Amino acid sequence: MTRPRNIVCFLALWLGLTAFPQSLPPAPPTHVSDGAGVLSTAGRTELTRRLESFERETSTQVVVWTENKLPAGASLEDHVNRVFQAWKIGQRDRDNGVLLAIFTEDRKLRIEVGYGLEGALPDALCGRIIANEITPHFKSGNYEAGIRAGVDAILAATKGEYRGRSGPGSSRPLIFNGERLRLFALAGGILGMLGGGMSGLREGAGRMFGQGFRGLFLGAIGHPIAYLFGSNLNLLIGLVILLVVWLLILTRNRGWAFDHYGRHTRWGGWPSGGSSGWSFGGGGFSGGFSGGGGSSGGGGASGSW
Amino acid sequence: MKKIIAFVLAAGFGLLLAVGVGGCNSYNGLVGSRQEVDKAWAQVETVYQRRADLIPNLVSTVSGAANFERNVLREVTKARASVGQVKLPGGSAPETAEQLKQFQAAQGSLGSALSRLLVVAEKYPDLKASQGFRDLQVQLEGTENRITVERQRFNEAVQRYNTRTQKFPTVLLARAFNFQPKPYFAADAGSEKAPKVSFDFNAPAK
Repeated sequence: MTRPRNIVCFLALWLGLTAFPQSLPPAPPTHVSDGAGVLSTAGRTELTRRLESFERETSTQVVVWTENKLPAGASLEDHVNRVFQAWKIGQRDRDNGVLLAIFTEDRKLRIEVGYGLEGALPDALCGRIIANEITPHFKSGNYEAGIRAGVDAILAATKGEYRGRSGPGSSRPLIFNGERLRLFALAGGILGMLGGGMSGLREGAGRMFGQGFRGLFLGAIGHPIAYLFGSNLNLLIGLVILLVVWLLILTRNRGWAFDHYGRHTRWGGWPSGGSSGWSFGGGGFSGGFSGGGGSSGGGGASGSW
Repeated sequence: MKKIIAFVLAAGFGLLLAVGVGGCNSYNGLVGSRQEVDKAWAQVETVYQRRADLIPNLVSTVSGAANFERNVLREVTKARASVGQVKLPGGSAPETAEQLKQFQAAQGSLGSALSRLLVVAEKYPDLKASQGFRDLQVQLEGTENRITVERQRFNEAVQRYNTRTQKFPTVLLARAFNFQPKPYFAADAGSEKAPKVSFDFNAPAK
């Protein structure tokens, strides 16, 4: 009775642990993330709206991020670059994103520029924007005016550089990426177990765990096989092979060790496990603005006030 | 009995397919990650080249300043020339630790020469105040940052490649097809320290 439950708990824990491997801040839901609380509500709304409509028009993604402090021991350049990558700022394959990061208590700021905008926003220009537009306001304590002036200058500099289409069409994440497929394999296993359990209930309680184990066990086999094969296409091939084996086993029911009853030849557990598992592909894990870009070679400039 | 034989056959067939497909994929994976290392290396070379390209501009800006210390300028120009003399197999990442060390040593001497130049420049308030010099400072600082980023990515690519070549069962293929482990960039030691570029434009003039 307790064993399947333990396995499910363990899997859930494993899933939770591997989903968030880094301690970087999660991508915010909007273009403006004011962790330091230096913007007024009206100012933040206005800025957000402007950055959103700018992205719609030009596909260039400008993100503003304020925070009280850098994490202990982190260097400004390194931390901002990692966050830029983690938040996937800019459109996929264009990397036309800019991150304006401000750490109020450290009195440091940085404009991080994605690969795709290095032409429009060279380092020297970012340096000038920081020195001439932003820090004079910051020195007098007016963060909002400094941020607005900085954003104005950044938008003016990038305007026209990347026209073309923007929005969700160009930024949908690939379905067949390794991490996701591994999740599918697991989800398929769990759902297969549940489905097996359900159909088992109809047959009588005795079947439930035989079926359940089978679904879970096969789901669990899928995981290492999918992992073994490495890249995306190969994962797919691995899963197809797995499915073939799986179906063979299911249709030749009696050869399977967990099935004590043997007479049942329906595809217990499989349809629910399979179809539910794959339907995860459409739904995105990504929330907020994330455009799928995120490559920055460390372009931009830093400053302090 | 029949069922068991059918099951064993199905499992055997599946296993065979898996091994065959897996073998091809492992090989392709090795080739792919070697390409990745080479690409990361090309990026490293690009950013170092970027730094070298800034130097003529820097030298002309700085030597415009009245009686700027000549030997500092000479040192930078010399270091830059020596960087160009390090020969590496074109288009691919260095194969041996020795090659990478040479490259690093040459770039390191250029880095420290630049850092000395910028320290000396602090003594010339007119120079420091000029927009041209400020821009160059930011560009140099950005280039150093890019170098750090690309070196880190290169090391990450090498790590992925090296791990792949050493894992079972890929290691068998790697041995058979001569996929050698590749060297990493060593951590900064002394001369390889990035030049300390002061970019604080707004500090009160001394």
